[in-house]
Parts: sequence; structure tokens; C-alpha cells
Amino acid sequence: MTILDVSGLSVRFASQGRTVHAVEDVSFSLAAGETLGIVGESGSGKSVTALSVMRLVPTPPGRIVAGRVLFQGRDLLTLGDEDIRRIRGREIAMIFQDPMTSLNPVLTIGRQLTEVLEVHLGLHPRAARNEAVDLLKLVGIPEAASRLDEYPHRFSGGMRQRVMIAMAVACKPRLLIADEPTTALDVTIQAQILEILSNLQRELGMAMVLITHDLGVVAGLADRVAVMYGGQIVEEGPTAALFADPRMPYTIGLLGSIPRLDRPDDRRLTPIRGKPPEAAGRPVGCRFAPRCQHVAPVCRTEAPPFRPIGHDRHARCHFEVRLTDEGVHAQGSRVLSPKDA
Amino acid sequence: MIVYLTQRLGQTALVLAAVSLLAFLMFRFLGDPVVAILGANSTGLQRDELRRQMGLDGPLPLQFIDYVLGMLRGDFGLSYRLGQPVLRVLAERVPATMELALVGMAIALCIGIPAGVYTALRPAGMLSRLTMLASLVGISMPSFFMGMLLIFIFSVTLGWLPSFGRGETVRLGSLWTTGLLTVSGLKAILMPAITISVFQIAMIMRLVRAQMIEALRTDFVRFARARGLPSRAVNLRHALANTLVPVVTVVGLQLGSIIGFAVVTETVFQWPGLGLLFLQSVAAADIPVLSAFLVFIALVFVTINFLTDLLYAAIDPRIRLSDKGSIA
Repeated sequence: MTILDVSGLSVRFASQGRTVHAVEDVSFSLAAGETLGIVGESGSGKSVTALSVMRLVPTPPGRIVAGRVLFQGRDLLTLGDEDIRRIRGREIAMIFQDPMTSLNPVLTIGRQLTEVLEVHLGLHPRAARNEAVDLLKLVGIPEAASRLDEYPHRFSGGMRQRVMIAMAVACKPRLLIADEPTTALDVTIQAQILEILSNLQRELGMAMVLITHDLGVVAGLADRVAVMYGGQIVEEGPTAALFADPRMPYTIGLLGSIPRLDRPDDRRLTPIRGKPPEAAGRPVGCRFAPRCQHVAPVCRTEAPPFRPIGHDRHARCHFEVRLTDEGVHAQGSRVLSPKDA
Repeated sequence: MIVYLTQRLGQTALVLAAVSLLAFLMFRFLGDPVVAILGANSTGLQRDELRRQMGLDGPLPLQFIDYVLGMLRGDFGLSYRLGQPVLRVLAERVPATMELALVGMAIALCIGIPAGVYTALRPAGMLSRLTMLASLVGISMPSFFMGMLLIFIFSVTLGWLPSFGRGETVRLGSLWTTGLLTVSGLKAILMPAITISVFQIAMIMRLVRAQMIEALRTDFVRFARARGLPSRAVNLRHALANTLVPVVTVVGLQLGSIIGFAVVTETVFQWPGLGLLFLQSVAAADIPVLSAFLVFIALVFVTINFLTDLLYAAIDPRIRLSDKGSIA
């Protein structure tokens, strides 16, 4: 059953008289209990996409100019402020990157936990407090009851991220959006947080959108992956298939630029040439054309469509790029078959 | 917390001792009290005699100790101008000034904080722009002009409010008189308090607005919104609560300076407070009153500072110094 269905989402930001297309024609859908990983470089539009689903894009300067975000059949983009507020935190929850700054320093974590329970579930303060203790236990905070009256500055980064997760899932949401949940943490802590997230997801039956630039995180947790580049989704499909056989040159480059331990490999890493596009001055045709190794004239003049490639997969490319057995690191081994050119 | 309090009290005592020294030195270097009491026509013999009687012939440190001991007993000597004990002169004036300052500051807080919050939440709104403009006027208008304007409108033209004095007062205990319990007293305090508050409103509002705009951009406010909290909880409990430390600091300092230096407003409204007393005492070179005034102002600032520190700890848990270290 589809729980979230985003289609044609476009978000623009007005910045110093220029219009920046932060997100353009983004579509994806998510089944209940499923995990979608959204990967991409900074500025690729991942976070803005997530904030749009929550209707938290700062307006102004941001504005959702087109699209539909169907959550359990209701279009979130047309809901009134009060209706969307009731959905936030209760049905769709979101956690953010920086646990050090995402908790209010002047309120106890108990207060910050109970306020959600009181607002959304109408719990009596005492009941909310008991529930808060359970929530802290759920995310693995030792001596939960005694830590309820402490302030965030007494907690370490990893502990704060646990607290933030507890606050987010307090009302047992149907969907959790995690925006770079482990980026600010030590590697050892990262693994713990990811484990907590995946356990919670199983226990609560939540769907999850996991935004990250870390392909390893996605490979471990996500059922499906969407790769974003320059405000667009450029490739989307089941995680295993996409990792094994990436089609869009950007995805290929992305996978080629990280070290792999699972292959005996004496080849060098191949970074993607050039810099990510500036959101304001994006090229007319394919966004990735200036950096693509396989660029053809049509790429510079015509924007490629987001079209199906094989079973349950989509890519935004004029060409069907296939890899040989040489793997992603091999140079010049791809067979290009121009379709529209 | 105990260590912290002791430290603060120690600092307070040090400040007061330093100010007492200054107050004491005023006697030595600003005219000769003996001449002031006996008059310019007195003979040297008479002056030496009085000096001995008053203990002014001993070594300076001894005299200072005498002065401090007297001060601790509440003995600041006699006012040259009024011939009354300085303490009584001050005690008559302090309640008027304190009430004026507190009412003025209360008005400023009641208007300044909501206005600051409002203008931060709707920076582009028409009402916000008007408020910001008005606050610019408020910050730049001299208080004597404001006072005269109010007198012209409400006393001269409309005849609603008295233009001077404190109205009827009621005695509370042996030291305090209050004008806040009578209708005429309330009417009388209205205009001077508003005059004092205008600048404070403008400043508090601008400060709250700037802090609030900052707070609304923080991650924890975004996270509070993402949890679906109602906007009132987000704006007040989460954002406003985080702006209060600088506000408390500024309000504390301003309160001290209103109490100490409301000279202009008190003069315009002939308010029988410390400011008026200060002017009269300067004109008469009434050194005992001036030096006691100095000590009093120091006491006010030190007390307010101390209370502000306590408030910090109540507002922001990170400032609570007695906390154990954070747990990693």
C-alpha cells in the first residue's frame, strides 16, 4: 500500500533577485513500512524535498510552485496550516542532522518529550511523563526516569540524537523522515543510531525516508534508493539492483568514487570531474552534462525525461548506459546506445 | 551554588567598599565640612575645636573606618542644606523614585516584549513597520520633551492628570510611603512613568525583536515545528524563552540607571524623588547627601546585578554553575 506519493514537486527560492530552482519535478513513492534512501551531494535538493513533505520550507524565500504530495491519500500541499500541524509529529515525523542544536537548551528533555504527547495524543501530564520514560528506554537511554529532568547540555551528541529520535517517534508516526541523521556523529555512534532507527521502524511499522550523502548508510538500510542531482531525481530503483547495475552516469560516478572493501581491487578511485552545478545557473539540457564522460550534443540542448529502465527502475538520461564485467571503475568500457539522438 | 553565592557576595562587598572610599574622599576634597558648618567667618580656633569634636583630626584611615562604621549603623551624618540626618532625607525620597522606576519598567516590559515578539513574527507586516518606526521615534525623543508634551496634552489641554508632584501618599511601615494606593497617587505617577518608559519600551522591543528573529532561525525551533507543536508553544515556550538572558541583562542595567538617574523626568514633573534631591544637593554642595547618594546608587546596581545573576540561572540551565559535568 502506498503511503506517500510525491509527484512533480518543484520548489523555488528567491535569492537576491534571482530564482533558484532548488527542487524540480521530483516524483517518488513509498509503501508502508518501506525505506527510501535519498542520496546526493550538498545542494542537490534532498533536504528541501523532505522539508516540502513536512511543509516546513521557509516561506519566503522558498515556495512550492508545483506538485502533489499525497500522504495516505490526502494532498499535504493543499492542507490548511492547522491540519498540516496535526499531521506533523503525529503521522509524519522528522529528525534533523545536528543533535547538538536541535534540542531546546532551556527546557528539560522531559518537557520537550511530554509536550508532543500532550499536544497530539491529549495525554495527561503524568501519563505523558510515564510515556516519556518508556520512549527514552526505547531509544536505549540508560536510567531513563532520572534523566527526564535533565537539560540537553548534559547529554552527549549520540545521546541527544537518541533523544531527538524519541521525540520524533513519540506519537508512533506512519512515516519518519530522517535528514542526515548520522552525519554529525562519530562513526561508532552512527552505527548505533542506524540500528535504533531500523529497530524502531520494525517495531512501529513506520515507513522511512532516509536522506544522506553516505552510500554505505543507504546500502544497509534502504529498500529503494533515489539519487538526486541538481534538484532532480536522476535515478531511482531497488537498492540492490541500483548498486549492482547503476545506469545514469552520475550514479555510476558516485559509486565509482567511493572505496569498496567487498571487492579485491587494485584499481584507483574515479572521482567525478568538475563541480556540482550552482542552483541558479543550471544548464538547459541535462543537469549532469557538463560533468558527464559520455556527453553527446543532445544532452546539452534537451532535458532528458525521467523514464523507466527495466523492471521497477527509472533514470533521467538520454542514453541507456550499460556496464561491462569490468565494474564501475573501468574506463571507456560502456556501451552507449543513443535512443532519441 | 553556595560557592557561587559566596563569591558574588564577596565581590559585592568589594564594590561597596570601593564606592564608600570614594564617597569618603568626597568629604576630604570637595570643600571643608568644618568651614561649611561654621561659616566662612569662623576663627581657626573654633574650626580646630569642631574638627576635634567631629573626629576629623585623626589619621585618614581611622577616619575612613569611622565613616564606614557609621554607614553600617545607617549614620551618614547631617545634611548641610537641611540640617537633618542624611538617612532620613534619603528615606523620604527613595520610595518615590523606586516606585516611579518600577512602574516605568513594568510598563516598558508589558509593551516592549509583546511588541518585540510581534515584529519578529511578522517582519513584513504593516503594523510591524509602524511599530518599528514608532520605536525609532521613542529611542530618539529626549525625555524632557516627552514629559512636556504629555503635560501639555493631559494636564494643560485636557486637564485629566496632575502636572507635578506625587499625589496623596500612604505610609507603609516606618520607612516607606507609597503613592500606588490612592487615586491621586496613581494619576500622578502615570505621566512620569510613561515618560521614563518610552525609551525603555523602544529599546526592549528592538532587543527582543533581534533576539527573537535569531531564535526563530534555530534548529530547535524548526524541530519544534516539525513535531507539530502549536505556533504559540513554538514562539513563546521555545523561541522567546531563549531570548530572555540578554533581555534580563539589559533590563537590570536600565532599571539601575532609571533609579539612579531619573533626574530629568523628576525635574520636569517635580517628582519628589532622588533625582530632584540630587540636583538640589549639587546646587548646595551638600556633600553628605551626595556621598550617601553615591553609596546608595552603588548598592542599587550591585543588588540588581546580583538578582540578575540569580535570574540567569533560573532561565538558562547551562549557567547553573553548581551542575556536575555533562555526562558523555
